[in-house]
Amino acid sequence: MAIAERPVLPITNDIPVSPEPGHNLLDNGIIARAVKSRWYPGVFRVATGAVFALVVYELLFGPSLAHENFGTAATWVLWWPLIPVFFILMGRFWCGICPFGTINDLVQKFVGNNRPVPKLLKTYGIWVIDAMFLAITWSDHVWGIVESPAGSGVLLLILTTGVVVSGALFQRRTWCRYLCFLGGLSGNYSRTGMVRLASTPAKCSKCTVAACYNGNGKVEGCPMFEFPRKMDSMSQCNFCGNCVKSCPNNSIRVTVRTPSEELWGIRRPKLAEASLAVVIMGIVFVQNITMLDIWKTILAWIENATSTDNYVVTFTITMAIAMLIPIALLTGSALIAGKSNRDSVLQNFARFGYAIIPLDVAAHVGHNLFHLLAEGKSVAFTALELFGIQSQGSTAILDNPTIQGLQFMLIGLGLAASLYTAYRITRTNYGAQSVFGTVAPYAVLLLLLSVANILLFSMPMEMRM
Amino acid sequence: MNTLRIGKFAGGRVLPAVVSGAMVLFSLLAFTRPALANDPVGGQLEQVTGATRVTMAFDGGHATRGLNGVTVNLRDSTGVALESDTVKVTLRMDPSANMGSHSMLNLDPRTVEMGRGMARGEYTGRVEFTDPGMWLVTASFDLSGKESEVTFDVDIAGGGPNWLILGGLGGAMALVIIVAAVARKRKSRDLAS
Repeated sequence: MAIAERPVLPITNDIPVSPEPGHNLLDNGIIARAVKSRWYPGVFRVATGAVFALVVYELLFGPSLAHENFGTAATWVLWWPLIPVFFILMGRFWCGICPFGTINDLVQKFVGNNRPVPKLLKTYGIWVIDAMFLAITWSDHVWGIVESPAGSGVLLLILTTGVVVSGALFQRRTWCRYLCFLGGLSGNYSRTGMVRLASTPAKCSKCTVAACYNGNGKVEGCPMFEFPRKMDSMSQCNFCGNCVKSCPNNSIRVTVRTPSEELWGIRRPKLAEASLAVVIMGIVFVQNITMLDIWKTILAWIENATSTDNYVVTFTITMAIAMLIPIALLTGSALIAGKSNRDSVLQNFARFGYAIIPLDVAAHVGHNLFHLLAEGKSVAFTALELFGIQSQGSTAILDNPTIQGLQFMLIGLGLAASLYTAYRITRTNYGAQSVFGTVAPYAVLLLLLSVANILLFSMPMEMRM
Repeated sequence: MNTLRIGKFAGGRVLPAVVSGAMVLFSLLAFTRPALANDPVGGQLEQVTGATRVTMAFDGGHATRGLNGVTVNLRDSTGVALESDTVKVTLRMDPSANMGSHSMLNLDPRTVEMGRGMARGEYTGRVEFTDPGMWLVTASFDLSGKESEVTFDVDIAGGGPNWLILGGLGGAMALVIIVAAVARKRKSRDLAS
C-alpha cells in the first residue's frame, strides 16, 4: 500500500550523524536474509496477534479470579515484567510486533484515510502519552484493573478502540508514535537499549529517493515517521526492517552498543521526556509501597490528615505526592547544579532527567522481577487449566531471598549506569569544567532514589495472582 | 506492511484463514473450559464446630454478586435444631485470595444480624457481595451462653462479561470502520473524477 503523502524535502548533504562504530549485524548473511525476508516481522506479528486474541478472550470470558485466569497471568506476570527487559536488549522491537500495531496496519490497509498527523498531536502527543500512562496506573489502583480479569480485558478493548480510530484516520503508526500509553515509556527505556540502527552517511549523501522514509512501492517507508539518515535516537525505531528492505544503497547498519550510551549524548533534551523519566520513579515507588504491609499504616495516616477515608481521594493524594517528590528533588538538584554550570533550572532538569532513566529501568525491572519470579509458574498453571489440567503448588520460580538479591544487584547496576550517564551528559554539554559541581547534586539525588528502592525491596511484597 | 503482503502473496486467502482459525480456537476453548466450581455441593455449605453442625445456604442455590438471601441452620450432632439468641453473619473479602490487589476498596467486614426463620434453628437474612472474588463468611452464634463461630469460603463469580461495555466498544469500532470506509471510498471517487 503506497502512503499518500509528500516525499521528504529537501535531501541535503549535511551529515548530522557520525559513522556508527561496531560490527554491522547485517553483514551476517543469515541475519540480513532474515530481516529482508518477506516473513519478517510478519511471522512474529501473527504469533503475538494470536496470543493477544487468546488473552483478551480469557480476560473477558475466562475465570473471574485473577489467580485462575491465564489472561491475567500472561499480561501482568509475564508480559509486563518482561517488556522493560525487551527494551534493554532489543530497543522497541516489541513495538514492531505489538498486536496493536498489527491491528492498526490491518485497519489502515482496508479502510485507512491516511490523514497527516495533526500538528497538535505532533507537539503535545508526548504529554498525551504521559497522561494516559498515569491515568492507567491510577485506574489500576482505584478500580483494581490488574487483579480484575474483566477490568484488564476492558482496558485492552478500550485501547484497541483507540488503535482502530487511529488506523482508520491517520497515516502510518500514528498510534504508536503519538498516542500509545506505552510509547513514552518504551521511547525512554529504548534509549538504554543495546542495539542501534543507523544509516551510512557516505551512502546516504548520494541518495535521491529516501526510500527509507518514503517507501519504494513494494515496501512501505518507516512506520514511525523516522528518517534513518537523520535519526539520532532509538526512541522510535521499532526494528520493522522496512528501511533495510527498501534502501537501494544497502545503507542501513544495525550495531550493538553499550546500554545507556545514547543518553550520554542527548542533543535536544525534551522536557516531556525528562519529566516522564522522573515521574516513572515516583510510579515505581507507588507500585512498591501499595504492595507492602506498611501501606495500611501510610493510608491510615493520610486518612487522618485529610479527614476522609475515600480511597479515591487518599490514593490520588498519595500518587501525586509520590510523583512530586522526585520532581521536586530533581528541581532542587537542577538549581544547585545550575550554579556550577550556569545553565537554567529548566535546561538542567530537561538534560539530567534523562540520567534517571537507567535507574528507572532497573527499579521497574526489579519491582516486576518479584512478580515474574515469585509468581511465574502461575502462567503455566493457568495455561494448563485452559485444557482442564489442574495444577497445585507454589508459583515461585525462585525463592524470595534470591529474588531480593537480584533486585539489589539491579538497583546497583542502574545506579552505576545513571551516575555515569550524569557524568557523560555533563562532559558533553559543559566540558571538563564544573564537572564536580554539576554531577554532585545529581549523584546525591540518584543515591537517594536508589536507597529508597533498596529499602522498599527489603520489605516483603504482596503477589498479583 | 509485510504482514499484509503475506496475505496478498498467498492470493488473499491467508487473512480469512486466520480469522476462521481463530473462531475455531475460541469454540474449542469454550468446550474445553472446565466448569467453574463456585457452587457448594447441593447448594449448601456445612461446617461442624464442637457438637454443633452449621449449614449455610443461599437463595437460588448459590451466592452471586449483589444482594443474596441467606439461611443459616444450627443443629446438634443428632440433627436436632438448636436455638441461639443472636445469629450474625459477617462478610469480608479474603485478603490472601485477592492479594496483589492494588485497590483497597471493599476490604472492610460487614455484619448482618439474622432474623428467626420459619423453622426452629433456622435464621435468615440478606447479605451483599459487592465484588467478585473469594469471600470469608463467618456465622457467629451463642448457644447456652457460649459464643461460637464458623467461617465459610464463598467464591463469587464475576457474573460474566459486561455486555453493555463490550457491545459499546465493539459498536464504536464497527462504526469507526464503516465511516472510515465510506470516507475513503468517497475520496477515491473524487480523485478519480
